[in-house]
Amino acid sequence: MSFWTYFWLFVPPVLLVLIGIVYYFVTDGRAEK
Amino acid sequence: MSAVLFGFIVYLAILLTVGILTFRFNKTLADYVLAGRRLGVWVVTFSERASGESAWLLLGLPGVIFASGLSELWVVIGCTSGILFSWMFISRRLRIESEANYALTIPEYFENKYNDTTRTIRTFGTIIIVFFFTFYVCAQFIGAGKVLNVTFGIPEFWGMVIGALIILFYTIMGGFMAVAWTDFVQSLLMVFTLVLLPIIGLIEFGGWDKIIAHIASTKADHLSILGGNTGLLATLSIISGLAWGFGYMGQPHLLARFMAIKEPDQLRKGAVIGISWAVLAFWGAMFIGLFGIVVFSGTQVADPEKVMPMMATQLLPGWLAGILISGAIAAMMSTADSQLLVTTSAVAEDIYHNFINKKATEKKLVNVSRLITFCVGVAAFIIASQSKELVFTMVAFAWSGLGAAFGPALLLSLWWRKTTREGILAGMIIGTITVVVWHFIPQLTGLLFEMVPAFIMAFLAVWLVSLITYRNNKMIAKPLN
Repeated sequence: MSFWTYFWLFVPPVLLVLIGIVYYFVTDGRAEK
Repeated sequence: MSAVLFGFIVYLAILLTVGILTFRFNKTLADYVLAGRRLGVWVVTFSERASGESAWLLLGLPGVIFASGLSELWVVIGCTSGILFSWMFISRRLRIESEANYALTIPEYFENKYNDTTRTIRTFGTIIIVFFFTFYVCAQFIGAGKVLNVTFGIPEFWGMVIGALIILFYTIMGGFMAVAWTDFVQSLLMVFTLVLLPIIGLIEFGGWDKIIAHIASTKADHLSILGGNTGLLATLSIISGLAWGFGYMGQPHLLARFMAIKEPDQLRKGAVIGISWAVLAFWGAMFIGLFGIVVFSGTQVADPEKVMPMMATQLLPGWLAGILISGAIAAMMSTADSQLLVTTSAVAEDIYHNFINKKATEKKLVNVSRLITFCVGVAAFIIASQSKELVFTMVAFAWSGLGAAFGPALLLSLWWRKTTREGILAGMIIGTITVVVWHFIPQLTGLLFEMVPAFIMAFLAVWLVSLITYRNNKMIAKPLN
């Protein structure tokens, strides 16, 4: 398998979970209007 | 009695017990369709995930990866990104705004927010929900038939009968509370199945490198993320795959979960739990399809959508295979029950309560809701028993219809103050028409997934019509208290 196949296979899942965690901390204490 | 059958019967008995135990909880319509907005974050998140992913994830996705290979990876990336987006940008706002606007359903939310005294949005919204959900529930019944057929050798028709009867029983009895709690258990079972089966496959076939080498020597094109396409065709296939993610923000049965949580702020935690679940489940489903190519190399698989249950029965001892296959049934049931309930709430609240019997008591509404749940279930079953369509195709149609009809309208109504009643209505109608027309023209569907044109057209419709009608318009959103 090529480098790009490995890249698209394994980078997005890690990135998505990381974005979720960052979102959790960034929105801490910020109320929705 | 075999271990598989015993495990499966115990599982079904638990579902029926939940239905009976939660029966007395439903005193008002808000209890029956939103569990009185009293649920905690774990139940809401697991219920949203279990309802969001149906027989499509456990049967359809492994099937399509098995048949077409890694070119379907884009569907997986698109879906998981859509899940995260929906949790981050829709859930909290919708929870707060729906309560402020006294809304139990999405059409009701639009009507109350935009002071739609003509009732047009609500009527159209309900028709769209009933139309697409009938197909969606249908796909779940077909899924039940396939799984029970592979596992117990029951004819597919009787598999559908068993699946439909159990779902109908506990949904009618327990309403949203029963559905949310059974979803919680089913969600655990689904992720357990999707994580465990590929791990066992990996061990059984001597590790990753061996599996990839085997696929490369037999079906090398299945390892290409572009599926052998180049240029424009490759780009269109990537866009089609990623577009699955747009669907999440327009699914009324998932949006209802956001609306049912007790504390809106808890939805932040839900985003982390939800995306972690989704990543494990989607990548697991993909690896099941991929490893299936090795398990069944040289054998003729008549229906690729049976690859997951076939792999479980081949690789595992009976009792464990039984538990994992129950995961597929769980996926199907947890989606069908939520969809039945949303259709019920749309008909009970938006049609019966509004047009037929305005003075109905809460008790009467709950009982009418139960009757509607039964009727919708029976209608979906009749269509399912006549249908020859694949789970994947049927779900794709309903998914894009709902996603395009409600997604752009909801997104803009939550984030853009200039959205108007006319804009919402235009988006809902244009989205629905584009999906239906595109779906029935094979040349177009083969080129691009109907979700892409429908979502774009609906988004433009909401935006442009709102821009034109914003000035001097009395039917714009009321400010929140």
